[in-house]
Amino acid sequence: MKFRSRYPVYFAVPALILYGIFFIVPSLGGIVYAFTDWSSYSDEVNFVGMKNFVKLFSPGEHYLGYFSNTFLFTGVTIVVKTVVGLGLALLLNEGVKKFVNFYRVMIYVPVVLPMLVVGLMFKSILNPATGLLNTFLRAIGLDSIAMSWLVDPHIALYSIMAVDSWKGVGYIMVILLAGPQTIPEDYYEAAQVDGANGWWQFWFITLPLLMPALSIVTVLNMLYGLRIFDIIYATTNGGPGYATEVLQTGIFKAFSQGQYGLGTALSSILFVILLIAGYRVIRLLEQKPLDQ
Amino acid sequence: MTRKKNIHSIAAHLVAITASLIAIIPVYLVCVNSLKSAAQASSMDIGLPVELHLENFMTVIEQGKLTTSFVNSMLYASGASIIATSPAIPK
Repeated sequence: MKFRSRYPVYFAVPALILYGIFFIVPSLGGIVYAFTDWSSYSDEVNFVGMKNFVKLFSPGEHYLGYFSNTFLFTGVTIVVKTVVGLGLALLLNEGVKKFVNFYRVMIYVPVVLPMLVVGLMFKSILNPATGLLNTFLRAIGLDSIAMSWLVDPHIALYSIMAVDSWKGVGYIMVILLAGPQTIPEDYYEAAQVDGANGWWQFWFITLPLLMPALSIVTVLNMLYGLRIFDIIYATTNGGPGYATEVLQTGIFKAFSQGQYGLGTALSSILFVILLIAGYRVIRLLEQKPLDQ
Repeated sequence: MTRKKNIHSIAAHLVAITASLIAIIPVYLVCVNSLKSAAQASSMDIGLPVELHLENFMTVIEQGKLTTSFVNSMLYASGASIIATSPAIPK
């Protein structure tokens, strides 16, 4: 990008100094501590090289699971929220004509609830013995899929993803609602003249023209998913075992156990992941919207 | 044609109603159970309360020291907004 401005560059210096002191220096300063054995157990802070990182990436420890859980959580929630959100947005744009605002409000309600409230709510709803979901499933004769949602290590993370999607899908729907309204009706008419059925119209007109909105939604969900913390803290707090630990809960626990060096190492890795993700995001947003 | 359209519209409404119910039932659950007695609320079911226990709200406001919490939240929210917007005020 060519720098075109009538102002000299040194006008930016005050802002850069402030930004440097308050943002760059603390972030980099934090990363320095990732290479030390800083902890609450001793007053000394010794340089230990890559020891913290070696510990984080050694297969014997459980930290590798934190990474895979975070990425799994991010990937699955991106897909679920986008697909369901897009489905609901299209449904409320074209499928349903009456009570549209009523439906929109209903589906948006979970978004405004605090995450901790949602967590406590679903802890009770997903209770294996007395929870509403299992009571309901047994009542309609589906005993086989009445599982111990948050207790079984194999499905606990997926249960949390479902809860998070339940909360987040309304937000995605609202973002995507505006999209289909900007697509001119002529395109669909032309497609109909050419003999395209509903599926082809969706695939070749709606979807490509919604791409800008969809990419923004993906970006938001990705940054949100990588930094996920509160819903896991409120429902399982990483348990059972380490089955639902993610990066942020790991950082939180490392710090609360006084292992500051380890916690800083973990948060530095998350910082780098977010930096890479954020860079991709900016590149994505810089792309020109589809030519109409 | 109109018949087919009707079926489509009914199906669409059914899906929309299901989605709305899924979204609203947990919220309804919390609201309803907040009005029940401790014994009745322990099962967390969707039934309506036998008698209204509005004193539940008084209990949380008093014992949870909600006044202090709300004042703190307000301070935090207004303070953060003022600090974050003040650099944008043009001279």
